[in-house]
Amino acid sequence: MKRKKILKWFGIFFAAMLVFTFLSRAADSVSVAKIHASAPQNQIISHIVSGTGKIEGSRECAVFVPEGLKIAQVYVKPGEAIKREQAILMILESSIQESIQKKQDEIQELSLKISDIQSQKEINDQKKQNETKRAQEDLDAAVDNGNINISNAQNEVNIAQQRLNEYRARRAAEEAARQQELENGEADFGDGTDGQGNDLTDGTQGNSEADRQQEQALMDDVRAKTEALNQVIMNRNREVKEADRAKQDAAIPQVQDSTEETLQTQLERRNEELGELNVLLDNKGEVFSPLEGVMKTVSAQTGGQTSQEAVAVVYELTGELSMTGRITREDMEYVSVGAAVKLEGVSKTVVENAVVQAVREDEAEPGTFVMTVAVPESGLSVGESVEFTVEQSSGPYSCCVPLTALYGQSGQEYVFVVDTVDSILGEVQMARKVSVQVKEKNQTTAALAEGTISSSQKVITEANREIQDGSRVRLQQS
Amino acid sequence: MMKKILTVLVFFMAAAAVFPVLFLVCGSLMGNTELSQILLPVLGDGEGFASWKLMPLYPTFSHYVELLLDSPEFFVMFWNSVKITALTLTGQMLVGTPAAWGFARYRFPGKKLLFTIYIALMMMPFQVMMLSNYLVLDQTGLLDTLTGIVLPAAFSTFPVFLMYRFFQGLPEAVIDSARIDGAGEWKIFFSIGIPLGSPGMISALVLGFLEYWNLIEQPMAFLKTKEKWPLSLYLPNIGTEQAGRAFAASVLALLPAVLVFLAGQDYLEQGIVSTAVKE
Repeated sequence: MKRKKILKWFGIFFAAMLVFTFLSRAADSVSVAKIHASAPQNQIISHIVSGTGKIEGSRECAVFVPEGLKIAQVYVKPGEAIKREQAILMILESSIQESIQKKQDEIQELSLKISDIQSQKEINDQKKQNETKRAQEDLDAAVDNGNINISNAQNEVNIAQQRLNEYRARRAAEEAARQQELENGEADFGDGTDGQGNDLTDGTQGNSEADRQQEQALMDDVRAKTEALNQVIMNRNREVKEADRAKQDAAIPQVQDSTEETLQTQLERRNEELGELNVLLDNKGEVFSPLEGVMKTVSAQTGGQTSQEAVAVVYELTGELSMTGRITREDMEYVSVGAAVKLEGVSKTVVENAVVQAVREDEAEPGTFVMTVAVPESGLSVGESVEFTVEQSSGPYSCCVPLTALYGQSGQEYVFVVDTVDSILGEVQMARKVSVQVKEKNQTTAALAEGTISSSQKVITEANREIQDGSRVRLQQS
Repeated sequence: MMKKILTVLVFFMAAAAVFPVLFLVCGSLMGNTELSQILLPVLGDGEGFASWKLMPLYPTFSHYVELLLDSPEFFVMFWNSVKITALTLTGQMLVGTPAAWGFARYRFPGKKLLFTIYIALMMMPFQVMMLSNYLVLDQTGLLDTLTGIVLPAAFSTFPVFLMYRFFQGLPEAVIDSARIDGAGEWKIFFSIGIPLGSPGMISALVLGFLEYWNLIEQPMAFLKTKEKWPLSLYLPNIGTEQAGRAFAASVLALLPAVLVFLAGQDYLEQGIVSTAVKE
């Protein structure tokens, strides 16, 4: 009986061990990482930069509305298709009327100012004309008066000169007559010439002194008259010169004053604005699209006010198209001007030969770049969302593994290769850590430096749990 | 008085003999931290001597749970041991029983010489036979197979010697009576020899189980593939950090041997006695 009991326990023990064998196997199968592995491939690394962009037109049309008006409602959104004469937004009528009143006041004010300026200008012109006329008259008077004075002085000089000449002529005649008498007396009294001569000479000398004084007086008179003439001439020239300068001063044009033109321009602008406001009022405050297209931007907001900037910008449907999309700084390495871009619109239209036109950093969002792509003629339309793809290939590389097989940080990458190890459980697969050097990689594949992994080795590409060096793994059939 | 002293002496000796088993059971119930503290001088870099205690500070079955649910390697080796032991014992019964019956009941030329060779082979330790066994197994392509372990063991001479003693002890009159009744040799073997010699067979089975359950030299010498290793090689593969699991594994490995021993204790004693009786 005792032996049977022991044998029973023996049986129970082995049965329990059998059960635990299955349980431990089941637990082991759960705990062992299930992996997918593949051998390194020889392939080309393609860098694909993709994202979403929007087709834009190259021709744009801005819609302006007079400043300071209250916006009652905005009807459209950016990217929305719009037809010609379709309402973009509506302005509050009371706001328009208020603005019209204000414009009218401004126009009236400007008109009055212009009128004042014109009146002032006429007076100034008249003054100027008078001033010029008077200067000319003064000049003419100075010339005429001067000429008369010179003529008078010249006459005085001539008279004095004539007196002197007449005196000298009379003296010469008297001298000639005396000489004749002397010649006649010599013939009568022969030897007494010297004595007579001496007497005559003495008598002549008394007359000569008086004559010289008279002649001197006449000569002084001539000299005085001549000086007077010179003085008159100088006076005349000075007066003429002064009059001429006064005339020249009077001829100087007035300072340019553009106030009137400015006010006139302002007046015209106000009139135009008034006209626009009247049109707006006639349209019951609605602002219409000037053409058929797609809304690019709508800066106006319901409840806001219009500003100097356009309330909306509309893309024209005609003209060349472009696409703008955003890429990251990392993507910049693979995107350059001139690179080919593939576009696929929501309408399933595919464009293969689009070209990158420009890439610039977004100032509002540093680190993000805006890529502009020239879109050739295609079925894509303005405002359509497109998926863009820029592809750049390098290689081929002889040792490429999926990126999911790569672990570690940049410069310290490693992969796990599958080793078959003889263990108590039989031949089992174990993960072995192998440090690698990455030559190139993209979003899916990494090219490793040759020599680190042989082509016969299998690299773990996928695991259902974290694995470490020496971890047991279970290879799953792909 | 003398009897009391002897009793006490025997009690202490028995306690000393059982002490390692208590160690095992106690160690298997200790936590890793406690085990590390105690075994640090042995397993780690600690100085001094390892200490021990018979009662764990914080008893836990975590090592058993870990071993039973998270160690498939243990079960691979356990069932390898079961296979080796079962096949070996079966082989021994199939081969050894007729051989022992033949030696015990028949007279034939060269019987004594053959039996002497049997005894001589039984006396030889494994290390002596290892090289020749290795060469034979290598030539027959049985190296690194369980058959390479089982086959030489199945032809072991010890169970033949043990059963020979039992079969020889059967009364000749019983065999003669059977012959007179018209029983053939096979009939006599199966109907009289085996039933009457069953204590010897069971004794051989018990002793064989204890020997082959703990077989360690042959697997180490002939088995390269770890997948085929028996449980006796499990413990050397456990690291120092897994001492608790090692204790638990030892306890579990001990259980079948204990059960077999308890079940066949009577036969085992008879077998031991029979081998001690002078022919």
